[in-house]
Amino acid sequence: MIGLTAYADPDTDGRFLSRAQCQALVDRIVTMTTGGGKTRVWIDSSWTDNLRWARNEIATGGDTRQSNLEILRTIRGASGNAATNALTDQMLSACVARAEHLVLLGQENPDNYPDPRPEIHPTATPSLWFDRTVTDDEPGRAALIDRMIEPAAAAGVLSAGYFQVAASGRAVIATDGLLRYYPYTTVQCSLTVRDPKGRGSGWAGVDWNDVVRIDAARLAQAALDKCLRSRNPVAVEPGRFTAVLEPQAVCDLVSVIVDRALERYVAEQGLGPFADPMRPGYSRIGQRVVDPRITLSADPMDPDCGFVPFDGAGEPYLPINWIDNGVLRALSYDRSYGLRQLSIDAALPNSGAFRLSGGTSTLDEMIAATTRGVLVTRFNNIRLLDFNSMLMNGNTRDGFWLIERGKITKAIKNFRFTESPMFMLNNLEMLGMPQRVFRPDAPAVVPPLMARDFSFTGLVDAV
Amino acid sequence: MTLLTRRHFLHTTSLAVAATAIPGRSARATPMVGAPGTPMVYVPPVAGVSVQPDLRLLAERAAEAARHAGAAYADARLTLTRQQSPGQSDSEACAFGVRVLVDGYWGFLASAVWTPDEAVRLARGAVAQANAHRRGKSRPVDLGAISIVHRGEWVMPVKYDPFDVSIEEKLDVINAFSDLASTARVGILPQAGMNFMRQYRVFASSEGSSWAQTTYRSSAQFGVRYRDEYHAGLPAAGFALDFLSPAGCGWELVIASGIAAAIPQLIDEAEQARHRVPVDVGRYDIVFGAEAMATLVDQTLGAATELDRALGYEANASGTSYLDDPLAMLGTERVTSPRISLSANRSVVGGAATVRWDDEGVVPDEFPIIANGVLVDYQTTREQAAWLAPYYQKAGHPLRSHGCAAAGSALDLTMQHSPNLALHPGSEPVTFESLVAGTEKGIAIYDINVGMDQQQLNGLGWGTMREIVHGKLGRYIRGGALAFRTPELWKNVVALGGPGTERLFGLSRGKGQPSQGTTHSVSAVPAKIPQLGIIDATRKA
Repeated sequence: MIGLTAYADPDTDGRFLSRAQCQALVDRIVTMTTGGGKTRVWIDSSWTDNLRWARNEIATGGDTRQSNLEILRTIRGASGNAATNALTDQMLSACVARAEHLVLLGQENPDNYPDPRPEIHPTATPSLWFDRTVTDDEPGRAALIDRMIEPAAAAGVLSAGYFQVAASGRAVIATDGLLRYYPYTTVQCSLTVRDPKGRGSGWAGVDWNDVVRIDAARLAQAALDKCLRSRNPVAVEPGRFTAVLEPQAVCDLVSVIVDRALERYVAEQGLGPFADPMRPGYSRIGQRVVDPRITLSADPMDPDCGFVPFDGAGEPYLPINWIDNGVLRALSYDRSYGLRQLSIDAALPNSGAFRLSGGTSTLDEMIAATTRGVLVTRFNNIRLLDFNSMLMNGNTRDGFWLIERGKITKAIKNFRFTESPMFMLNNLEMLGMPQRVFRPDAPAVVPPLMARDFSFTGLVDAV
Repeated sequence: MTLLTRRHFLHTTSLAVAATAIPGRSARATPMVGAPGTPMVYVPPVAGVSVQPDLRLLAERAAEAARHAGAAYADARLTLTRQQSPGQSDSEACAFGVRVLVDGYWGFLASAVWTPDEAVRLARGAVAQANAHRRGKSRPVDLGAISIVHRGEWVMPVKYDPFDVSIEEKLDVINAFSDLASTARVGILPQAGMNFMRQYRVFASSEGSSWAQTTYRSSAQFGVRYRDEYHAGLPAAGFALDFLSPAGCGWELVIASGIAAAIPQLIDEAEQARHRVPVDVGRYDIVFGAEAMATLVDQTLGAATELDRALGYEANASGTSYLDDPLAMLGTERVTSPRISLSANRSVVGGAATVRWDDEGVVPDEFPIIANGVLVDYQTTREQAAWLAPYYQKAGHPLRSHGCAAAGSALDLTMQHSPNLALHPGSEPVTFESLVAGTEKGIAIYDINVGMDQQQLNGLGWGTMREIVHGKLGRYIRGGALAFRTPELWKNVVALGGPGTERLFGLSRGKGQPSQGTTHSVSAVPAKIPQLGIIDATRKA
């Protein structure tokens, strides 16, 4: 098999299932099946260790091991699935029986294609495992949290945050030869620093696979700094502003495009921002959809934005430019779409991870170039209002400032916004260096940016 | 299965007939109540525990091991959770969690393995973790005293365990609804689904409490909309039955509810809503239905009176609260109109958060949160109750947890979650209809989907809105959103539905890191609030 692993599997230390354990588990499951057909098992096994702090002291922790299994049985094209997290014979056979019962109720499905074959569809082999992320060192992590709390306590404000490490193995194994397994570690850290009287609030956070890439002291300082500088905000009349958005704020908006709008079938149904309104049944692939400086891509091998290189069906994630220099180049589809519509035996799954290309401007340069505008730390409470235009609303939080004549002049009260990231990406002034942001479900590398005419529609006096 | 039989089934409201309407089923709904003398404890298949079939022994062993390892307090929980969304997902999950307290610091370990060895590993690991958090300092934690229950047993009373009903029977109801609705009128797109959960939960603490309880949660979504009305994001002009939200009950939720009988009205509403008029922004007298009020209660006052949020423990997760100075506010702060009284419980029949014991072994009490407009209490756990000790002492209230500790399963650390909430009815014989009749020009809001900021202070809500003209319901409205500030919203309530207008709705909310979701019920009544702002949510600046 080609390129299944670039490095030796790690020692799981009994904390999650190894490749061999996953295989043995599936072998056991197969002996429990009846009625022939094929079996596919998806396994997500992990150990997580977390620490939570609030009001400048450690509040709680948690150390959890769990393996989630989903068993898919397919007999003559009809399929049924059931899930469990218990690895005993009794619970597993009950799970198989539930899946098989659903097979009997199911109809033969013409879209039931063979699983991807590892030798024909090899996956990428990103480095996602770092021993140092998951060393068994609770005292060390507690000491790290103490150091993060210290500057806030010294400044007389309150720090609350979360630090989590995890070691995981993800497997998709099927009786027709599919065998994929990938071990990976993750670490996330985020904190909110608030003034005790609730007058100011700051936030910072990031996630990585490798713990050494987290600069906890810098995060703690950033959140503290935002808290102090955002105190006692004044009200400014909402309206259209030039907006300088920090990378997290950009991520908050663009994530909705990546999570909801990148499905080719949906676009061809006339739904979403990438449906072509002029040609029913077609997407906007090949058309310019945003500013030519924008490229939206994903690559499991991205050293700053790698991810487990296959989806729940075992389909490999390929390097892809969804949007290339402003032009929509691809939308995701599954195997049956590929075979039916494109006559190719391939899927183009969307991992949810993304990289948004940037420019060379710094945040300071963007601020300096702003005559009158606002600086946004991040958004909260985002809701999609219209799928076709991607119009959404929500509010700013954790650091929001007015920029006048190239300088940050005052902390201002939060705004509600009503805007579309499609509009924002078409009204770009400047783009900064992309950087990893906080997005634990799927990684993202995103630049700060400056956009014209960003629509703020109301005051939100929450801090 | 013929459509005729399904029709018969759907038109049937008698449980006995319903259970026999479909011949040839191997599994049939069997009553769980009314069998006197036998303890109605769901006995799970105890996998992997060959020595001790009683999970309570495992829980007790873990609590004991933690105490031996140096914990001042420990509790162990085991859960077996069966969940099913017929036609979509079906799962069974087990969990074992041990929580310990060492010198004021918590430790928590959890896994999905039910063995005596694992009980000991979890207990010792949790103590080691708490010690790591302690780092030489101690922290005052006062859990207070609770009454000890030994080997307690409780099963939520339901008529039919949903997992005694075959999947065929459930899919029949879903398919029958879809058939009936889609053939009733051209262009109708039915949406139907159900969710069932049964959770067996075992608890033992180092204080000697041990119990097992089984809870149920059922919900269903039966709705219709026109095919050409689809806009993701914006609420489509779709209508769903409003009496199937999550509740602490069984299969009876579905079969006793008269789903088929409601289809014509659902379709009529969807038809009327096709001719929605664009919103005319401005200030209106609003008449809220009970469902909209339940959501507003939950998203504003409910979330804001969670004590951990108020004190900043959730600052980096679900948010804080505008009621953020409990000791200064309790007993004095006027947070709503004097008409408003809000209480909490975990005992209401059919409540999604109803339990006999909470996840710390506390028997929850019914307690007031807002009494005639004044903030009088917060939602608490054992640790949290002590934080309000000065107030309780001054007010002459006993110091006790209100029993709001919960967790989705034993894999999640216990924390404060919303109990069932109840907005008390007014004393006058007021109804939704009488409120509409008494409104010259306004808007009726039936249901609402609210987005709140992180302090529960500013909200924006979308929902099903209708004009009120000269005391009569008029056309449906498109694109309108209710923009409000929580304090003004509640201080301006001028009328509340009277006795008998209360209805119970099941709602979910998430909090914590890692995030946990739980479900609870909110009992609410219709209300009228004058001069609220209705904006066009889709209009840019």
